[in-house]
Formats: sequence, C-alpha cells, structure tokens
Amino acid sequence: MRISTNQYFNINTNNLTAKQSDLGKLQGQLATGIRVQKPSEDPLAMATAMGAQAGVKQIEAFEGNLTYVQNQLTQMDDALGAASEMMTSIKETMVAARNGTIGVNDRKILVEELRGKMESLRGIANRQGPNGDFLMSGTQRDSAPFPQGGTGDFLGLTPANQANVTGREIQVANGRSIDLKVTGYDAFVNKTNNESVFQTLDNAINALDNPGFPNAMANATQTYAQVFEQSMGTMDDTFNQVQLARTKVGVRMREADTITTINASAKNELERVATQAVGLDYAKAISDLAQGQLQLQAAQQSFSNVSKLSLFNYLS
Amino acid sequence: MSNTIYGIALSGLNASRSGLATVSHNIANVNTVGYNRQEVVQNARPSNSVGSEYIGQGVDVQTVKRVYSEFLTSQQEKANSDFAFYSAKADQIARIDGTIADDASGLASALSDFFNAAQTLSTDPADMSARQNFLSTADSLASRFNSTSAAMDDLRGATDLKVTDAVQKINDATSQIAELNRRILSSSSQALGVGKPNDLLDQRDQLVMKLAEQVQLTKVPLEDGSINLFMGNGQPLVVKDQAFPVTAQRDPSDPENLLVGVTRKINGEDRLITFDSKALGGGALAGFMSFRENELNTFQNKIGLMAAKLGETVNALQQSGVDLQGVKGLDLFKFGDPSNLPADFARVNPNAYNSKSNPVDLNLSTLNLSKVTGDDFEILMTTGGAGAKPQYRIAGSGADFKDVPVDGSGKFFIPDAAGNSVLSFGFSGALNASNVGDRFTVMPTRDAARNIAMNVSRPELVAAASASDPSSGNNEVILSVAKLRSEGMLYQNFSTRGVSITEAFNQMVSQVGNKTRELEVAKGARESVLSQVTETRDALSGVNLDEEAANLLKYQQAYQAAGRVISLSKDMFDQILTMFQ
Repeated sequence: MRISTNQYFNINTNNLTAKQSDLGKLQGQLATGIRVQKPSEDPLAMATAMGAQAGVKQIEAFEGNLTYVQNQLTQMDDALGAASEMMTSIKETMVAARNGTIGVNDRKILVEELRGKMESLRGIANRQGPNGDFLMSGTQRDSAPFPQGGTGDFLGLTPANQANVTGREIQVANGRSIDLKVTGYDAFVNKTNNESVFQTLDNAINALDNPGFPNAMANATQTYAQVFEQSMGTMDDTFNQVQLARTKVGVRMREADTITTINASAKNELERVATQAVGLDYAKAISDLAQGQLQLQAAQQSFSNVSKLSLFNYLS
Repeated sequence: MSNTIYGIALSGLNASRSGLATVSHNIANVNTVGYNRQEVVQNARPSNSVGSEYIGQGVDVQTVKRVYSEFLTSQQEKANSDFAFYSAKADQIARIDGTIADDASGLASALSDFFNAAQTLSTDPADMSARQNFLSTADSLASRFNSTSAAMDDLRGATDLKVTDAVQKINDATSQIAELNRRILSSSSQALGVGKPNDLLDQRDQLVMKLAEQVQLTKVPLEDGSINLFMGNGQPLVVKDQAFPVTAQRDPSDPENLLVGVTRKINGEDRLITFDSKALGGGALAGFMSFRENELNTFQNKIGLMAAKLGETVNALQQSGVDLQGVKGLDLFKFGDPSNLPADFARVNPNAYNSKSNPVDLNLSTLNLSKVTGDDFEILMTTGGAGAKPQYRIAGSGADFKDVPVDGSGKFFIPDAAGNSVLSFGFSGALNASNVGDRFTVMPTRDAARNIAMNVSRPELVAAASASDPSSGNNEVILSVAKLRSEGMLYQNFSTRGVSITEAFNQMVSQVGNKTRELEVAKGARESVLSQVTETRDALSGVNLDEEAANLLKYQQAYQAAGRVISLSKDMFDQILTMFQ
C-alpha cells in the first residue's frame, strides 16, 4: 500500500503517545495502589467499593458509640457495685443499732455513722460521668437523681412520673441498639412502697435519733426496734433491686462486647471487599509496566532508525 | 527539419519543467494540512502526416490534477462529524467522572461524616462539642452539594462557550466557503473548461472538513465547481456564493442555556427558531448540546434530588423535636432566603414567547420528593378547558404530550407510572384562548444542590430531643437523623422500600461510570473509523517524499535529455552551415 510521509509520522507519533499514556496510567496505579481511579474504569467495582467504604465509615461511628456505651455501663456497674457494698455496710450498722439495750450515747454515735454512710450512698447514686451527666438520671442528665436536702423522691417526681423517666437508646450496629435505661428509680426506689432508700434510711435514723421514741410521741404504735425491723426489710428488698439493676447493666455490657467483635469482623470484611474491588494487583501491574517499557523502547528505536531512511540522502 | 526537432525538444523541456515544478510544489506542501498531491498529466501531440508516415510533434501538458477522491473526502467529513460528536460528549462527562467519586472532595464521605456526627451526638445529646461537630459536618455536606452543583454549572457554562465558539466557527467557515465558491466560479481556467484551481479546491475542502467538525453536513457539489452545504436538519449554510449565518441565543424556555438557531419574524416579533440537537445529527455542537440535555441535566437533577430530600426530611425531624433549651426545633437547612418550599428547590421556567396579553404563572403546590426521578417536565397549553388546558411530557423525551389530570382538590398534577402525584400545580390567573401555545418547563430539583445552605449556626439550637421528653439527655430526634442513612427515602416509585441517599449516590456514581464508559467506547469506535478513512485518503492523496525524490530524478533526467536533443539539433544545424563554407 502506498503511504504518505505525513501519515508515516502521524501513525508513529500516535503509537508512541498511546504507549506513553498507558504507561502513565500504570504508574498512577502503582503510586496509589488503586486500580480503579475513576468510575468509568470499572463502574461496578467502584460502586461496590463505595458501598463498602460507606459501610466501614458507618461501623466506625458505631465503634465510637460502643466505646461510649461501654464507658457509661462500666461507670454504672461500678456505682451499683459500690452501692451494694455501702448498703451491706449500712445493714451491719443497723443490725448493731437494732439491739434495744444500747445506751443513749451509743445511739448518737450510730446515728452519726448511719448519716455518714447514707450520704456516701447518696454520693454513689448521684455519680456523674466525665461530661458531668448524672449516670442514674436517665435522659434528665443535668439533674441529680437524689439531691441532698430534697424530698428523697427520685428526681423530685411523683411516684407515677418516676417510672416514666427513661434512658437513651444508642445505636451500635445496623438494626441493633443498646439502651441506657437503668435509672435510679430501678435501683433505689422500693417498688412495694414507692419509697427511696434514702427515705427508708431517713425514717430509721430519725427513730434512732429520738431517744424517747416511741413513748414520747403521741400516736406512736411501734417501738423503734420495730421501725428498724421494718426498715431493714425494705432495705433488703431495695438491695435486691440494686443487684437486679446491676445484672441488667452486666447483660448490656456483655452485649456491647459481643457487638464490638461482630462489628470488627464486619469492618474487616467490608475493607476486604473494597480493596478487592478497586485495589491493585501489584504483581500484574509491575509485569505490565515492564512489558510497556519494553514496547515503548522498541517503538522509539524502530521509529528513529526507519525515519532516517530517505531517497534524498542519496541525491547529490 | 531541425526546426521540428527544436520544437519537439522544447515541448519536452516544458513538460519536464512543469513536472519538476509540480514535484517541488508537492515537496513544499508535504506538511500542509488538507493538501492533495498533484501530478502532471501529459499527452503526446498529434503527429504530422509526412507522406505515408506520421511523425510525432512532441508533448503537451494537458493538466495538473489533484490526486483526489470525492468519495473518500466525504467519508472523512462524515467520520469527522461523528467523532467530534462523541468526543465532545465523552470529554464533558469525563469531567464529572473524574471528580464525582473522589474521596477527598466527593459527596460520599461528606454524607458518611454527617451521619456519623449524628450518631456520635446521639450518645450524649447535651455535649456541646458533639453538637458543634454535627453542625460542622452538616455545613460541609451543604458546601459539598454546592460545589458538586457548581462543577456541573461550570460544564453548563462550558457548553455555552462551546455554542458561542461553534457559531463563530460555523459562520467564519461558511462565509469563507462562499467566497471560495465565488473565486472558483470566476477563475478563468474554470470558465474555459480546462484545468482546475487545485489549491483553491484544497482550501475549500479543508474549510468544509473544519465545518464538519462543528456540524454534520450534507454537501451538494454542482457542475460549475461550486458546492452547496446544508446542516443535518436541512438548514442551508452555503448556497453558491451566499452564506447563511446562524446565531446563538438564550433558550426561550431556559435562559440558563444558549441555543443555536436562525432568527425569523413571526407575528411581527423576532423569534429564534432553534435547532434541535437530535436533528443536527453529528458534530461537536450537537455533542455538547446533547450532553447538556441528557447527561448533565439528569445528573444535576439527581444531585439536587438528594439535597432536597435530605434537607426536607432532616428539617421535618428538627421541627418535630426541641433544642437544648426545650424550644421547638428550627429547620437545619434552607434552600432560599427565606426558604419557600417547594419553590426554592424546584424551578419553573415560563417560555419567553408566552402570551403577552394574558400572562399567567405556573405555581407549584406540592412536590413528592420520594417519587421524583430526576426528569424535568414540559407543560404545553392546548385548546380546551377554560380557553386553554395543560398537557405534559418528560422534557427532552420528544414523546407525545398527554393531558394533565386534576386531583381531588382541583389542582393539576403530574402522575408517576402508578398514577400517584409527583407534583401538583395551579395557575396564577384565569386562562383564556391567548394562552394556547404557552409553554412551561418544570425542573423539580434542578437548583436544590446549588441552593442548600445552613439555617442554624448555634450548636444549642440543634433539636436532638423529642417534644414528648424535652430533657437534655433525650436523643430520639438526633437518633432518627442518624438512622436516615439507611432509610429508603428516594425513588419509591420503583420499589416501595425505596433507595437510601447513600445508595442513591453510589448508584449515580455507577451510572456516571457506565455512561462515561459507553461514550468512551463510542468515541473510540468513531476515532478508529476516522483514522482508517484518513489513512485511506492519505494513502491516495498524501505526499510521499521518497516518491517525489524518484519523480524529481525522473523529470530531471527527462529535462536533461530534452536539453541534449536541443544541443544535438544545434550541432546538426552547424553541420549544415559548415557544408556551405
């Protein structure tokens, strides 16, 4: 076939630029480690990778949420554990005080001891998280559940409203939430008589602190030993509620652990999917690069040699 | 006797000199774009009868002709138009393809960040730094929507520039072609019917080739050597020595777009008769317009739909809740200043040629963003009803117009395939017969991504708590915002579950990828057709320097030989003279 001189140069330069552009693309892939840089290079792979990457990001948010939930639950667990110990200690003091033969001075000492322990228990029930939120107040995070000098009612609410105080649900995985709904009402308010442990203790301490009781009081029908007996019964019930609340918290902590593991493996899997979809097969890319270099070199050499040939070289 | 030999040798010298001149011309034009190599056609002179013999009289140069194929040139023009069309489309969409999935600048990560911030805020809804973070991610999501839409507006602007540029190129080329037609017609050799003004013809062919890059052409060569040119839609561009200019003007149904057409007087008013990109066929101009009408509009509408639906849903949730002070929540996003939904993400363009005697506006009443698909609608008023009655079709579909149904509250509405209202509208005034022929274009979400902005800037104003439990630790509303990530709030007309905003964006990325690929493949196919035709034409008409070197030797030798004949005949004449000394 006849070929024009221009055509010869055009074909060669087009070939050279095409080969250079292929090499440039390979170099870009090797530099980034990503095979699919633009959606058009592999639309399905790109969409798959983007879906997987969005999934990874979502799990990262859940991981943050889980950390928060675990911190919060651990603090509640600590507080409830401390509350159990304190209540056990209070009960020991009450057993000592129940003894009807103790003298007036001993009573005073016991009153002080019980008051101190009650305030410690109150401190535990009113514990705050690192952000200043009251752990046992549910969504009313800014209010102390059992403020000092208050009525002793949970958040100062009527018994009917106390039960309505709820806690946050925190999403920890797609379609799974862990709630922080264990409140001071669940742990410290006796469900039989709607009396908080602080009201129970207050009654007992007042009885102990009143040496004439019950004879000095007009309508008294009970001895203080009887009041103590009753208070200790209520305390036992409430103690069981604290244990139950602690169990609830424990169940949620275990669930949080399980979901952490599930999330980690789901995240790994999604990362694998994303890498497989758009990641680079280095072995193949490097061999392609070597081949491309060889081809470009051959094309350059043959072009520079052949283009030197001209009949005009021989005209003189 | 020697007189005859002189004459014959001289004719040989002349022919060889013409040959050498032509070879030199070819060599000189080896790099001239559009040059067709030339060659000398020479004929033996009719011989003289001497007695019973015929004796040759030498040689005549009959003509210098272009080595040229009209068929191949037309093929190359057509291939050029086709390639330019797909090249324009592919190059434009490549700009979307190159940035849409970019992790650093793309929407995907901004969406993830926004929902992640809502998740984090849901753990401790009173935490001011988490609130601030939520607002910051919402703000960067809004600016991501803005910049994605702005990139598309840039492409729209590029199309406008291209239309202006194409119009100029078309008018330049057609006026030059008309002028060349005139010169070719008047060139003396043409008039005498011998020889052809080869280089003028080459110039004209080259101009036609350039014109074909802009618009697909129908070329009609005439006997007298001139050519007539028509656009794909039949619009004349050049008839003999007269050029018909085209103009670029604002689209009467969308002032954001430039269109090409010709101006005609209708009812005493200058009106632009626009050229439909489909009727234009090939060429870069049609490619740019087709990209704008199809791909660009669709993608911009879809991005707008995501911004509009996310904004609408988040705003409704915010309004259902209370902020940190227990006050009813405000819209998180706004689409105008002040927001006037749905008018702020939807655009209604009345046609510039609508009735002047009874001008009416089309007002949108409702817009169901879960049923919107990214299509725009054309409304055309026809006779019927109160003087005029609306019909609709999907813009750019070229489908037949259908009657617009009326809903229970007396509003006109455009239904989806299942008959549910996508959007409903009314008119600002009573219609009469003068409104027949009025047109409106409704773009439900075109401007939403462009307009979305923050309405709330103080962290305590974010409504995280529900109205039923307005305490600072309640997270119900912000949790609902976080859960929007996977809620199927879009495209519910295709499946009742719908498509979540993240999925919708990924689907769009995949559509952009597939479309880009499709256009690149089409461009590549046209490119190989073009280079094949070009090679075939070059193989026939291009200059080969080795061949010219050989021809140079050939004519040089012939010239030398003819010169030798002259000196020989001088010797012969001298011989005769010496005979008489």
